[in-house]
Amino acid sequence: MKNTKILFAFIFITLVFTTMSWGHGIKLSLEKQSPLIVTTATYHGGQGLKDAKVSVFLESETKPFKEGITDQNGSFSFTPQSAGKYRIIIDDQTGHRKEGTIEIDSSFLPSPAPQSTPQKEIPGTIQPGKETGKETAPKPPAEPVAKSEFSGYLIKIALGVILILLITYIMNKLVKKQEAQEKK
Amino acid sequence: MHISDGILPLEVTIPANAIAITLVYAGGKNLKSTEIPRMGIFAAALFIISLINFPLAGTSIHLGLYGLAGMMFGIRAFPILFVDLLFQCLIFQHGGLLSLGVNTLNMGLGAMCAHITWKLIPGNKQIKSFMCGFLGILAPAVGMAGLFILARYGKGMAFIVTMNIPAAIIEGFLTVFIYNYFQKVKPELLK
Repeated sequence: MKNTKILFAFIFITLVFTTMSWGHGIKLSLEKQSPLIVTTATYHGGQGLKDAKVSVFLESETKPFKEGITDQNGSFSFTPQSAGKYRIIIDDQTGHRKEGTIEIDSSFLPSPAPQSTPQKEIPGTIQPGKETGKETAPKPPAEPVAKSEFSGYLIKIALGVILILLITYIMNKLVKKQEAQEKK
Repeated sequence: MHISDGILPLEVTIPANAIAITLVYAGGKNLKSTEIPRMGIFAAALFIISLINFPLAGTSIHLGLYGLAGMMFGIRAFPILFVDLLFQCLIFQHGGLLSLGVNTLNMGLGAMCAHITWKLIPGNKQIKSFMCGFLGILAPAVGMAGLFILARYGKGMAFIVTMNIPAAIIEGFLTVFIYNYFQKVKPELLK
C-alpha cells in the first residue's frame, strides 16, 4: 500500500513538471517582408528566444541552406534564393525546439539584378530602405505552424484530462481509506 | 472569462486567493467517496469545454458549464473549478497562477447564482435550467467587469458583460439540453 502511494506521488510530480516545462513552449512566426523572410521565435510568455540556433533547409535537403543565431528579440532573417518550401528549425539548446515551414513562390523572389549583392544576415530589424521600398508583400502567419500546433493542442488536452482523472483517483483512494478507518 | 496574470493589482489578487482557498476547503470538506468520481468526470468535461475560447481584453469569452456545476454540486463546485483553472493555467496559459483565486471566485459566483436559482426559486425546470446556464456565464462576466472597474480600468470595461451575453444564451440552451438528457438517462443526477 505504501509503495503504491509513493509511486503515485512520483507519477504526479513528474507529470506536473512536464506540464510546467511544456507551459514554456515556443511560438514561431514567419513573415514575408520582401525580399527577406523574418522569423521570430518567442516563448509563450512573449519573451524572445535569445541566441538560439536557427537552421534553414530548402525542400528536403539535409545540408542547411542557412544557419545563424537569433538576436535579443528572437528574430532572424534570411533572403531566399530560389522558390520552394523552406523548413526553419529553431533550437535554443536547452531543450526548446520549434519547427516551421514557409512556401516561397517565384513572384516573391527579388528581381535578378540585385542578386549579386551577398545575402546578408540582419539579426533583428530589417534594413529600413528595403522595407519601405516594397511593402506589398503579404504577411499572413504561416499556416503550417498552426497545423503542427494543433496536434500539440490535442496532446495538452489529453494531458489535462488525464491529470484531472488521476487526481480524482488519488482523492477517491484516500477518502475511501479514511472512511474505512472511521468504520473501525 | 479567465483573467490573466498582471492585469489586476496584488491588493486584489492576494485576498482573492485567500478567500478562494478557504472556499475550496469548505467545498471539499466531508467529501464522500461516492461523490468524487462524478466530480472528477465533471471537472474533465469542464476543462475541455472552456478551452474553446476567444480572447478579449485580458480575458476571454467561452462556454464553461459553470451553471451546471452549481446545479449539480452546490458548494462542491469550488474544488472542481479550482482544479480546472489550475490546469488550464499550467498547461495552456489560459488565466494565471496569481489570478487563480480571482478566477475561481468569479466562476464560483456563477455556480452559486445557478445553485440558488435552482434550489430556491420555484417554477418550470426547463426555464430554470436555462436561467442557471445563463447566470453561470453572466454572473462571472459581471464580477469580472466589476473587478476591472475596481482596478481603475475605467467604466468602459462594462462592455465585457455585453460581449458575454451571446455566450450566456448559448450556454443556457446547452444547459437545457443537458438537463433534458439527464432527465432521460439518469434523473437522480439533477433533482
